[in-house]
Amino acid sequence: MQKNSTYAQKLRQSIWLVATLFVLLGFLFPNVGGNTYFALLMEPRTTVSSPSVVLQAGTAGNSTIYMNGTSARISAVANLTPAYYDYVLKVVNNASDPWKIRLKAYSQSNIGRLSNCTICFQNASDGTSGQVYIVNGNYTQQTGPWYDLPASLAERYIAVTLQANNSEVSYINVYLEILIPDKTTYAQYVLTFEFT
Amino acid sequence: MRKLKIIKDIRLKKSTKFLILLLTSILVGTANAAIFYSLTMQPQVTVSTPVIKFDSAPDEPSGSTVNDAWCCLTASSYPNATLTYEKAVYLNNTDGVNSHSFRLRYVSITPTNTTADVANWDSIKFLVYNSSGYVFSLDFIVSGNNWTLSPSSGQTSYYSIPASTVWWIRLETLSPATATEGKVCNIQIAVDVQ
Repeated sequence: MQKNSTYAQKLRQSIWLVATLFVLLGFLFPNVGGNTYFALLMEPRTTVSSPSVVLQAGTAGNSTIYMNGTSARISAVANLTPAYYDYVLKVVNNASDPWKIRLKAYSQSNIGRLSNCTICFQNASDGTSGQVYIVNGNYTQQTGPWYDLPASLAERYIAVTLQANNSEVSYINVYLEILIPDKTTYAQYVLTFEFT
Repeated sequence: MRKLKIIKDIRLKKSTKFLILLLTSILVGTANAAIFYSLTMQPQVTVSTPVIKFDSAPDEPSGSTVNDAWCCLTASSYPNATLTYEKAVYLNNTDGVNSHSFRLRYVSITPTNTTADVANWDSIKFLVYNSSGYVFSLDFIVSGNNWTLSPSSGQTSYYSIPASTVWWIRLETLSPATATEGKVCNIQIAVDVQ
């Protein structure tokens, strides 16, 4: 019995000794692995600004321009016969810098009824640039080519050609992307096309 | 002699004795090391470029400053429109032999939580890309008058950037339609490098 008690005491002492040594070594050599650490610092500063490119209502169809001129809803009627709306929305550049613009369709509903839908940019000097095409209910082009939007004060128009095979409602959500030439900095405005 | 006997008669627990012994040993060991000899260390600290450093990228916003270990990006945020700086700043591993791991870690942001000015932003995102595409991100999303971080810990995992390789940070900003022009958000993010 006495022998067992002595053994337990010795064991306790050994555990104390080992634990103490570990703690001491831990404090003495915190980076025992030998790695070197450092940190770079990034300080982004973001300011709310008015965009220099804004949307304005067109003369064909019905367009609603939302606050700040950075998003819009465009309504037009799709008939059984082709209809052409030459000016549903205007894109205006108020800045002294030129930009490039394009349309990119990113979501939709009930477009199967659209036998023909073309959304394009147009302007008297630059001609027409087809951006989004739907034929027989399917996209044949979802993202258009870049189109020049010259420096202030420049205006470019969005035109739509429509034909449907019934009187339901279709929605196409499109980004108007505005790019700084020779860079990959761009803004995305949300345009919702409602075709009744 | 009588005094010594009194000291010997003091009864101490074994653990107390052991602790006294340990502290005495440390004291003696330290004192001995100081007495026996001294080593001389002559560190030479040279100003040098960190192995992973910031570099200017094509979409660096105008008015920004990019140094090796520090950068200040002066970006804009448009109401109701997403503004993307595809290549806002490069992260360049200049080590020609070894890969290094790094992460993004939130340090501070103003306006601070619970202040009304926070509602002038919807989100500010820092997405890390390499030549194969998206790698990871640190996002600041607004909910009411508070910033919500993603990852919620405020720091990403460590990711390994290969030797002699350049990755970049894509900056995305979005403000609500009701945002007030001229409001400023300052963020500090540390790029921890191993």
